[in-house]
Amino acid sequence: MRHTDHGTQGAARVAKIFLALLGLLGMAVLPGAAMAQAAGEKTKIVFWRTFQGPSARAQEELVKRFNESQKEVEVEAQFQGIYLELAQKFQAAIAARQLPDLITLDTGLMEPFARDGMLEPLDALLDGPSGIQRGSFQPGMLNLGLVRGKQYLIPFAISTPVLYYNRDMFARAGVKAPPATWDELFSTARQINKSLGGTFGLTYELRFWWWQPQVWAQGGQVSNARYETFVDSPVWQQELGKLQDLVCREKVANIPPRAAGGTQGDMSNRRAAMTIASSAQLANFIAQAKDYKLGVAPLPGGPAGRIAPLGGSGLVVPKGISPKKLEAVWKFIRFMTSPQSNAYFASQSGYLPITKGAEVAMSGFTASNPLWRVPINQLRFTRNNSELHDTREALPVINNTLERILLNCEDPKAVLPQAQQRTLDALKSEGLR
Amino acid sequence: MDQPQRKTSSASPSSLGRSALTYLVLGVAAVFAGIPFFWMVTSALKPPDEILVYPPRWIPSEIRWQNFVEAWNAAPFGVYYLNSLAISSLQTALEILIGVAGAYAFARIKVPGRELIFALVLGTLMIPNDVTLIPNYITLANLGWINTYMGIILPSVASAFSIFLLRQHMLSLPEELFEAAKLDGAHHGQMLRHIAVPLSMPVIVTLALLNFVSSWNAYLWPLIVTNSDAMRTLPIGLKLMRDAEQGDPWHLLMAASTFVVIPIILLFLFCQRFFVQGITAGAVKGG
Amino acid sequence: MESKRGSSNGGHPVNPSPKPSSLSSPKPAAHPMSKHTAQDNLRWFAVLVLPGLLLLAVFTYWPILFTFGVSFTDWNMIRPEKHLVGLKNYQELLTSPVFYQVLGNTLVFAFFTVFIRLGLSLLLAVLLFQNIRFKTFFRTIIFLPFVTSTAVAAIVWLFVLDPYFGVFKVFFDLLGQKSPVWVSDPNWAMPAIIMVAIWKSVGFSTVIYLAALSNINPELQEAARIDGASEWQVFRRITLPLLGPVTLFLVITGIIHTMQSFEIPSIMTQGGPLSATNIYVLHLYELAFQRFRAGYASALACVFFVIILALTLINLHLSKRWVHY
Repeated sequence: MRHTDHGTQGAARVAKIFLALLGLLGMAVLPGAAMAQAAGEKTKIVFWRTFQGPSARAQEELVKRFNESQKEVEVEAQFQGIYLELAQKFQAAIAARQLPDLITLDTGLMEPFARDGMLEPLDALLDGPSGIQRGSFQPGMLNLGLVRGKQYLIPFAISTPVLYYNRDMFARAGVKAPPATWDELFSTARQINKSLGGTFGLTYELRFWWWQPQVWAQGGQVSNARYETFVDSPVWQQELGKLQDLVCREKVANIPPRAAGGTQGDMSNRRAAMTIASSAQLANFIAQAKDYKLGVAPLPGGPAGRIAPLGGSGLVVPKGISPKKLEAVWKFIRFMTSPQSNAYFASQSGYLPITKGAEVAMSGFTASNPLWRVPINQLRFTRNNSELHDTREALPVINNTLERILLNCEDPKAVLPQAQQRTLDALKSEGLR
Repeated sequence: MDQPQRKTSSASPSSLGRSALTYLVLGVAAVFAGIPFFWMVTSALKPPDEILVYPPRWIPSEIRWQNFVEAWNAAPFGVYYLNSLAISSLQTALEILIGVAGAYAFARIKVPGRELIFALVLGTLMIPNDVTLIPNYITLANLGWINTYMGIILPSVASAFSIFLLRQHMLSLPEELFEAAKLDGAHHGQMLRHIAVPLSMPVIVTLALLNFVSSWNAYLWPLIVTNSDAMRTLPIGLKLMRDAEQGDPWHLLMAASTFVVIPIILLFLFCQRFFVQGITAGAVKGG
Repeated sequence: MESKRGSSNGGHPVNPSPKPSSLSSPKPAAHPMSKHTAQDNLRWFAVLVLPGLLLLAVFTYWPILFTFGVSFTDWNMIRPEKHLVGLKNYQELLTSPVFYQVLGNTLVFAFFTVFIRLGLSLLLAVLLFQNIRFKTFFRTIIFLPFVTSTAVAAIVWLFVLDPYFGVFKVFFDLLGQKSPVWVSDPNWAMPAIIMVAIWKSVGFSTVIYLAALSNINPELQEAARIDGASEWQVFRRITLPLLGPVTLFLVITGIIHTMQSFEIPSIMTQGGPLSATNIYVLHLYELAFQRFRAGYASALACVFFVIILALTLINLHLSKRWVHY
């Protein structure tokens, strides 16, 4: 009898120990929660950021300056990885209903979130008493954050692709000026490869972002507002054929493995004479051009003229944050997009000055660093990204198509018609057609 | 064990050839297994301009300890270290606690329906982890445990594998010990504490080590469930150090990789016996 | 198997010393162990088992039900509402070329990883089982990758396989071959991740085979040798069959594990190039967390569960032909 009671008590005691342990572990959760409330009178803003290298350092410096500049708002920047990873985190946060207050989002990845109603429209603030004049932005900039007539994203880190080249190699191969058209680019690549035996004329990263302007320059189309696509059009076939000749048959152009430092590795190791990359890489290119003289030229054009896309990221606010926080967030957005802050960020990285004021504010810098003028001048001939660029399902289809033609060297004539159909299917499944 | 040559007449040449072959094969395997470690450590000690060269520099021209300092400062690795340590320890402790308790009950307490419940537990071994990914994220979100230690630890704390392994062991303990204790009026709590646990200590230690290692190395779940540096663990910190834009800073990545794996490698070298025993116990009995 | 029991107790030979302290006072009255003891047992059982069971219920059983339910909806994780779409997700899945490509990739990855690893670890175990020098050294270094973080391993291997500066290029140069670009080549990416997966886990199976070898009664092999069997015959006819159960264990757990791989391709290839290494969990993750298709991803998860179950059952069934207990 006695041992039975005893046993029951024992069981109860073990149960209690378990509960106590669980409770103790629960305490591990508390510090985080407590910290969130301890912020006190300052409005605390959680800001999910991206970027690495010089851009990251510049951004952190700006956050620091903002926090020191005033007493009402405290911004805590949390690094969340590259654009894509950040978007994943944001999606998970929405599902969990544990949202940050401000996010850096890629303009292309932003659009689906806006369409699903997950972002706060910022028009009222933009046009409000403490707003920013729309006219003060550089041409095309605000468009990047516009979805179905509403402003969801304030541009911040916007760049445009430019041509980077090795001046020493150009001189040795007798090339006088950087190519002005895509066709010239290809012939220059051949010339360099021939006269500098074995050096790649071009190192090329497969990216839809600068595939679009190659089509545009020939007067071709990528997609239109009704989400009609032109993947099987003659211009696509012709232009992809040119690239394929260069890469697959003549081995004049290289598509470097991403792991090995990509196109930038090819340039800094002098394996290639030219590449196309975002102007945001300018500071990196300069830092890594230790063994050669770097040149920067505008993106090439064609019969239809020079046309360059803009891209990058901006600041977005998740739907449903409190008015008080929204006010605080807006204060920070205004700080970040102010001419001084933005000029600082642009001159540290290679991103564009998003407002005319910022361009003026950094004019002293660009006067002594002429390479920085190239992307800024390119602002005169920019065009919005094609509709395809800002899709979730269709863009992977296009990327896969480019890979099949340029990496796997498959025949564009066979691949493109299928790709057109698959793109349309993808758009349909995304509810865009 | 290598003297079954008694039968063959020309023992020495063939056995010599065979043992040469043995060493050759094992040597190749050892090089294959070891080369990433060698490359990681030498690269971690190289000056940055000796990283991207070909032919590779096997030994750095000068040892650059500064890489470790720079890597350590490139991200809040101190915080990551503490997080990894705390999370791995807590997770291991809880998993063992639950495992021992469950194992004892399944091995030693006869109640109706026990086998059915045990089958339910074992069945979870068949469930791919990723099936639980989304729902668990949402459950934890509802509990408010995203980006907390609890959120990282809790979903994997009840491990069918641990329960199974410990139960197998406890089944093999001599019945007489428990009978004698029962006659003396001991209840299950006492038998668990004074007989089952002490006699299972080697298995417990092994399991604890294995759990600690797998928790230290966990990647996907902590990646999903953490979103601030205050909660991130070492593998996540290392992953975020990769730089898609400028190309990877290999000398720093290798230095960071080195200090991520070193605690585990030391743990393994010192406790190798337990690792090996535990794994074999699981497998041989599992088979 | 019998000898195993003794050894798994390690340094503690079964000694009856640790006993409850109450042993000294004999209580013959403690015998009537009928319904009270049964009740007692139930209480103890509940207390000991419930914490684990509760956690399993919340973090394993519930997710299965949830996933199964969601697989019939078009939920995207962001929108609060879920619309029932019936079998549409399953229908889409079964007609999607990508699904079959991913499944094929996964099976190729799992098959090659598991079976090459099996052969390799058996060979290594047999070699290590001999009376050789540096045995511990070899065993340790072969096992070392197993305790290494997969994230670290994948990153380091990426560097080792770098087509311009990696160490592996040296070996190809020595052989006068052009080094493949590994993870950037659609044809080499899969072999590359299989190689890393094998590197990571071959030590584990080797150690298991070693244990199994030491469990074989050497007299059996000796008897065969006395009967004039060659070493190969002894291995083929005696040793190998006796390793059957362990091999089955390695195949089943190996397939379950490798089918679920994520980290190596996620870090080394992101499923590319040209989806050559896009394997199941990677695809599932991409659908759920990059393309916002939680409903479809859930259907994918449910199908995966069935596939793994089926593979395990097939293995168990086939094993009747070659595993002799």
